[in-house]
Amino acid sequence: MAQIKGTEGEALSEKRRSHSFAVTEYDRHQEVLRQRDWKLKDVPFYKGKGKQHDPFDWANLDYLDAYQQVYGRRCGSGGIGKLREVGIVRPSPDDEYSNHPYFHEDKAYMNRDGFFLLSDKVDIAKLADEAAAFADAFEKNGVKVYWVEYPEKPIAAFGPMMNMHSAAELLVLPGGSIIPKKGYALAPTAGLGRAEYLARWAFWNLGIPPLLTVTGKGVWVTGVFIADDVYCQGMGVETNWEGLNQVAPVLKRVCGENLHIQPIRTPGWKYFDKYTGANTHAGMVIGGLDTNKVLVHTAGIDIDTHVWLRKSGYTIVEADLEEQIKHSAAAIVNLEPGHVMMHARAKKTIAAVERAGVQVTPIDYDEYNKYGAAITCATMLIDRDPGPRKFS
Amino acid sequence: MAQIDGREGKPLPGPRRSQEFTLTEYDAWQERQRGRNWTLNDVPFYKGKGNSLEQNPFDWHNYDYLNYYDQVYGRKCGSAGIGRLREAAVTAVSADDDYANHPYMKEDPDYIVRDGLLTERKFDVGKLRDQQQSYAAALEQCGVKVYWLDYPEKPMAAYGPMTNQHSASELTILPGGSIIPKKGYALAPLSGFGRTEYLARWAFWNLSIPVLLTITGKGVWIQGIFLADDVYVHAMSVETNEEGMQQFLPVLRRQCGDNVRVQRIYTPGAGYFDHKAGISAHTDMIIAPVDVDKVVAYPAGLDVDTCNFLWSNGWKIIEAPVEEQVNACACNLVTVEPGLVIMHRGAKETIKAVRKAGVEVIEVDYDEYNRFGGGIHCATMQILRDPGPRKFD
Repeated sequence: MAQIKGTEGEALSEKRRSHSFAVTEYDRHQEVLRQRDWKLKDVPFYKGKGKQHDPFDWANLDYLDAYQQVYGRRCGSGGIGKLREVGIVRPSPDDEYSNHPYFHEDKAYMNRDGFFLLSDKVDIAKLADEAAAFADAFEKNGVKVYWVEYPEKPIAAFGPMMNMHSAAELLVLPGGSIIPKKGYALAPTAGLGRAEYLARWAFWNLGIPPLLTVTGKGVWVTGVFIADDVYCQGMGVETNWEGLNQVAPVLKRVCGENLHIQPIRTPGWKYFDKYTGANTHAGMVIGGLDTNKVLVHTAGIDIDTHVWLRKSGYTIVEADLEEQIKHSAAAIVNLEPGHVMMHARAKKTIAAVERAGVQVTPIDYDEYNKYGAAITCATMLIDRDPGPRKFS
Repeated sequence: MAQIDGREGKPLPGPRRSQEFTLTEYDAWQERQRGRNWTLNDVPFYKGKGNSLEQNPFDWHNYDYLNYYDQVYGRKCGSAGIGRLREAAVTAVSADDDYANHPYMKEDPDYIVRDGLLTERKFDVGKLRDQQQSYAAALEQCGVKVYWLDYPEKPMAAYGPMTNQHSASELTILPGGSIIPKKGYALAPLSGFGRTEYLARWAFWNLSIPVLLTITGKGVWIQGIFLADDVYVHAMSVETNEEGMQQFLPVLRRQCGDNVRVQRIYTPGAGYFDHKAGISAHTDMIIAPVDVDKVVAYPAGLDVDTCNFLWSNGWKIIEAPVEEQVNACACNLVTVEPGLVIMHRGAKETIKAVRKAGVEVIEVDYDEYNRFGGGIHCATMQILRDPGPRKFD
């Protein structure tokens, strides 16, 4: 990322990437509503002319019953039902970390939590090709793809932004998104400002409102659903209990009060450990494959979660250690129960998943894998159909 | 509001009012930040070259959102107290504000007017516009930056053409971001679901004010008001239930401090506004701060516990007479700073009493909106205030 030095006030070109939607989905929804021939029978709880109306009726209307009518769309990936819509980031020259001024100033500081340990140079063209192929694979499987664009040379809270590729960090639940608050070493440049941009982008362009911003001293990043009523949260340098306690009530309001939240106390204090494959992000160490089937990186999962998975009757497929380290083998995208996307180079793990009766669409994504990141990280899961539940 | 019948697919002409800001405040902030000469000294917790292994990886867990959100979004925001008001937004009045043409008003006027807001069947849009401009000018003369917010042409709520776009206050802005309410009164289908959501989207995109919370589930909640930086009062009514409050309170405490005192007002009645009794479901219709330890209140709209709370904690209570409460929404005022308020000119006796209490009053004409049971407080999105006085600590 080339930094502009000493040119304060010098404007970029008038047409900005961040304004790429000339007519937003919200505008289009407004247009459709305008054309309707509205009658009071369209209004919930209306009982007819001259009838008595209970003034407290509206307290019985759940947000989930009304938000689509406000914003014009359904949203939410709170389970493993058929995936319908995703957002992925269009790579640009701004994704080149090796030009980042902090990387030159103190490489050890930037490397310390594992993200840049395996490579210090991004092949932008290859990343773009792999992202395009990834998008094609989604579309071939019936998934609508939105390309997310950042403004030119985006800036985070404490310096030029990096790792814009991680679109997954905006968790989209039924009814809206959660704006996280990151906590690891790269937080100043890859955390504070990035998911906030995604939330603003999604609200304006797609009509997906934020449901919650994690604030105070909460630290929280997204976990993963392995069923519509089971959510796994990596607890570690990227999520503390204060953060989870802020998010949990929202999760339960929009996903159901009987949602099981499984905290995974991840080992270590880094984002990614290149020797053990451990990772503080849940999506890197566990993935839902099918009803009652999960893929896990054993060394990244705490004892309580191992016990809980077995007691709950899950078939557990283990990721190969070497493939986890090199190819983020446990990081998958679930297209629907029994069909997942996985990194093509994780061949042994793919074979194990297929032996468990799960269909695999392999994806070449090794340019991003070099950073301990994966297709899971790169995918904003925007909308899914309702899927299977484990306990109810 | 003229409804367009049966012309699906015919778009309004561009450009749209809702996209008026071609360069948003976020863009401008990004531009300024790009020009900086960034070094690691700009990064919190950085301990210097060669010391990266000494650095506690959990340092960021000690970093409060309020310490950095302006660094992300490029601005401070929040009106949570009675410190000096710095920024506000009011709605540009348009032909879409005329409710008399609303199809539901024609179909079943009793249903639409039943909770008190639309008792008058005809709006004088020209007069409302003039009064709004004069009010904005008064704010500017007080040193308040005013944003004009535009709705899209013929805006639509969840269940029909939108009404009462004038109520910009319904987007609560706390330090760090906004709260999207969930309304519950009779006009909820038109003045509720869709209106504040639009304001939140407008504020996030144009002003870079993020959403902190959306009220969901079966929570019902709209904003209360602050009497001091550590005192928040909230009307429990057809417009707020306990479930809504329980969603809101943790956010309030994170943004405004754990020691904010919350006083629930269990309001009488079951509608928004009673045009004879003057009682209301909205906090800002029945109580307002005018200075440190001084409030204007409409006692018949307050519950006994709140009256006791005010008296017992040493507030001077200036009572709004029933006639001015009914006709001029006397409590619905805007505190510019402690000891300086803007009030409706029609509330003559109340203004006199407020001045007698040593508070400076700027009078504005706002009777066109007052006739509908709304006032300048309802009309004002309070975006930013300085820190102000605290009552208890």
